[in-house]
Amino acid sequence: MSAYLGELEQLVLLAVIQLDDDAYGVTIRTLLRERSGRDVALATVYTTLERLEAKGCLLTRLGASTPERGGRRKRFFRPSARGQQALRASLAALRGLTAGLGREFQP
Amino acid sequence: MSTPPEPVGPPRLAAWLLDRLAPRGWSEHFRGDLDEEYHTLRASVGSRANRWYWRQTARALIARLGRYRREPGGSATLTTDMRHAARSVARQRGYSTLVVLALGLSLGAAAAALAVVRMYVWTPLPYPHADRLVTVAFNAPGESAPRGIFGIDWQGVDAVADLVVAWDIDGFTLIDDQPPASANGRWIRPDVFPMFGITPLLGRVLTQDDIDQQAPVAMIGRDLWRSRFNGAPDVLGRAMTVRSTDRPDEVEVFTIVGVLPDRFWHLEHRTQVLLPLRGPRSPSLLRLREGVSAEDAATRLTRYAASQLPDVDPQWRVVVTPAQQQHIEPIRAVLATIAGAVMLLVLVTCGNLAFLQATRGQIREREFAVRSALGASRSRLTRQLLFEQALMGAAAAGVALVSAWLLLEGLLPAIERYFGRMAPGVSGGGGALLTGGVALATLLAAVAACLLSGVPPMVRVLFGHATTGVTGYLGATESRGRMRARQAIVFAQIAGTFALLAGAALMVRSAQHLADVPLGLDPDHVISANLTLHERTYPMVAERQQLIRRVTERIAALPGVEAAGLIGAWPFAAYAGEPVEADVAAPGAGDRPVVAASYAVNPAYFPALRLRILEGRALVDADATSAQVSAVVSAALAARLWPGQSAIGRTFRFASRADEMPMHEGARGPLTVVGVSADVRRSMVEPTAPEVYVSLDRSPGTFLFLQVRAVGDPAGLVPAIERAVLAEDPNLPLAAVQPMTEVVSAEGVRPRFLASVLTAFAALTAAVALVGVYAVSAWIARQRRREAAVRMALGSTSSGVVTLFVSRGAWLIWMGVVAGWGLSYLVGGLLESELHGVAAGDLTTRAALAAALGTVGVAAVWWPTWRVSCQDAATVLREP
Repeated sequence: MSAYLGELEQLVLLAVIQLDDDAYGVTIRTLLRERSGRDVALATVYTTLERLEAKGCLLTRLGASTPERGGRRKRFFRPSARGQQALRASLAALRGLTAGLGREFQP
Repeated sequence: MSTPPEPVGPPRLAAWLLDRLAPRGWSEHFRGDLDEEYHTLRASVGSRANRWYWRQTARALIARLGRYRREPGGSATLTTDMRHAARSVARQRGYSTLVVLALGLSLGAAAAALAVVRMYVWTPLPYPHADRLVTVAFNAPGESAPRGIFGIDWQGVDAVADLVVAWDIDGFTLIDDQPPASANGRWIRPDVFPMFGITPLLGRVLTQDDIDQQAPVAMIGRDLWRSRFNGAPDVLGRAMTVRSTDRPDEVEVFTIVGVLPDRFWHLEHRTQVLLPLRGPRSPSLLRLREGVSAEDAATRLTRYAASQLPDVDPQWRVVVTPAQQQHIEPIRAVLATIAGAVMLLVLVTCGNLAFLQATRGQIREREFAVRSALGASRSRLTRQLLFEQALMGAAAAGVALVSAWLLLEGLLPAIERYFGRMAPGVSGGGGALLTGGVALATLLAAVAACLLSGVPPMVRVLFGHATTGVTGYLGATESRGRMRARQAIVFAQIAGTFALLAGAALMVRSAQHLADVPLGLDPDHVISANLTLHERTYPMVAERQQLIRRVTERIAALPGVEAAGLIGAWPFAAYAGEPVEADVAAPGAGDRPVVAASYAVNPAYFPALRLRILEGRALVDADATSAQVSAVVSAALAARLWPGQSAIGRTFRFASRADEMPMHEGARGPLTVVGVSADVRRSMVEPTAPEVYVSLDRSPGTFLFLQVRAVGDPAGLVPAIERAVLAEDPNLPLAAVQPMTEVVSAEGVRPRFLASVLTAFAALTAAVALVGVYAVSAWIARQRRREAAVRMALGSTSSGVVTLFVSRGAWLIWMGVVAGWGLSYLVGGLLESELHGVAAGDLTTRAALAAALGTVGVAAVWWPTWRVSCQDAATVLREP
């Protein structure tokens, strides 16, 4: 059975997928701001990532460090199979429920 | 050449906080991400990036808190712990209420007492440079000032003081179109206004110009302004026609230039008239120059006075006392007594709280042991326990603050009346005394009391083996160690409570003694009033005698009047008297001079106040004209002058120097004792002072006190008495009309207030102690239910079990009483200096207390045991 995803979890998981190999805190936050118009605090992003990780939707690996990061390493995220399945299920639910909605709800 | 830009990093404090407080496991990547984005932002928006960084930090810290709530596994969380604690407190409702109420009420009393002590003792007087204010006296207590000291030129005082206040106390009779009224007042130097920082309610204060020009101007008190001028705003500039006691044959007119502020207490709270001082007076209050100590000032003033008065005794010294000390000295003993009683109350409460918590700890061992066995961590259990105790402490502090506020609001007027001084710097209700500091101290004390008493009993459970608690309860009887611990708790509780309660009981008995010592006169059904005879209308003794006789006859003839007494001096004035000596010294009379106060009274004074004559007779009309000067002496004086002998027919005289007037003209020459009267108590602590009564009619003064005894309610007689006085002289004001009972209580002669405060404290202390004893004893009996059930299952009868348990419990309790009896001598020793009329080692008090405490303790053991014995043994045994 796939995990249920909250709205922010969906958005963060989508961002991780879009960013492909470059998904870590800063890029996820930036993408969320640019594509969804939501300026989410980094702590919120981290909390959500942590929750997704706890649900088994994400895999992580440690990356390289850079000077502007004070020598601290990045933590990269990519979706797990369970995460992809959970996202598919939520999107299917969304599609099922949005089908046939009037013009006023079209983007 | 440009210098390379300094490397700019994120705000250091925020980074530091993040490193320490960001959720565990985040720190490296999270800070890395933040710093990376910070550098990007910094390049585009400059220092605004710092604000952004702080916002992000705050969010991270909040996330840490939230994470605490949602820790993986859903166990340890802050809010859950708090909720748990609150639920646990609510579940033990009876116990929590007991702790909160007992601690809250005692700390409330303590907070109120602390607020009062703080106000009178620790708060500097609310004056500019209050630490430099001193009072000046020219005689040590009990001695007399050197002759002529008041007449010297006191210019020299300016060398030590920058403000010098001198005054001349005077009484004033207001005469205008209204009935005459009298008021207390002072002729005073204007330095008093800057010294006390007085701003008038209306108009202006007196100035040096007023003095220099001898301006006929006056400031009046708010009460006088209200009563005499109906509080009219246009009172300024109005004329006030008065006759003063100092210049009784002049009618003077003063222009009112100002109204004194409300609660004008600085000189004496009945002061209603201030006028510019006429002529030089010796200084009474000084504000010392900076760097001059009181000791310094005393030395320099003494030297100065000696230079002006060459024949002064070289031993004599000016007495300089800091104003603060002067202000509180008379009430220090009472404050100490109240503080002591409150300390006892708090000690008893905290002691009993500790015992209650110890028993509670044992009761809850099982709960904690089970939870610990189920996997709750030690830190978790500790945290919950701390929250529980802090919660109860906070609730107790709430109860304490509310009760303290109510106490202070309700009692401040009584406190001020009792102390005879207003609360400096308080303008609204007494609740204002509950300052932030007092409130904080109360809160801290309450929480500390709960934590200190509640946590230690659990330490063994928290840090011992978890299983001990679970299995420890399965046995029918308890382990020897637990039983010993329990017995020690009860023993110590009873002993400690007994000792402290004994202290409280001694103090109550002392206060009651002070309140109950016979006054020597009976103030019930007596109306007191002042009469001030106008000296010009009655310049000669004969005219005064006539007026007095006519007025008293008229009043005595009124229906409902039993006797119309007159006395020539305020009976409760702090008037030490003059030395007297017997014409023929009696053996054993001692060498110390006897100082006696003399009062001129009319014959009706004795029946009017029911002043008992123990031997001989009271004064009669004939004594006013007899060749020998008759006197009635008090029993105390008779015992000092003629110990072990009858005083009747003996002669004595006032030993004042020939050039010094005795208090009454009629008391000159040898006096012959015709009667011995009961002692009259003139002050709170000092029971009796030697006194002499002589006939008022011999040389009546102009200042008299009327004391009329009524058959029934004296208040109804007042209009008739006023009419009787005015019928003789329409200009004769009848002032300060009040029941004698009020006079007596206002003079603090009977410390009823102190007695009732102490009784209330002691009752509260006893209630707390008895509830504590009961709770602990009942808990013990409950603990042994299983044992009782086993015994009954094995064939013991229920009465047999009750007898066995009660006899063991009683033995323990009585051992505690005996130990407490011993300890109580320590407490008594500490209180000894505050006790009057009851010995610190008083046996009756202790015996009564032992009976009460022993009985309650035994009953507390008997009741639950009896209830257990009524239960079915099998049911009890099946209980977990």
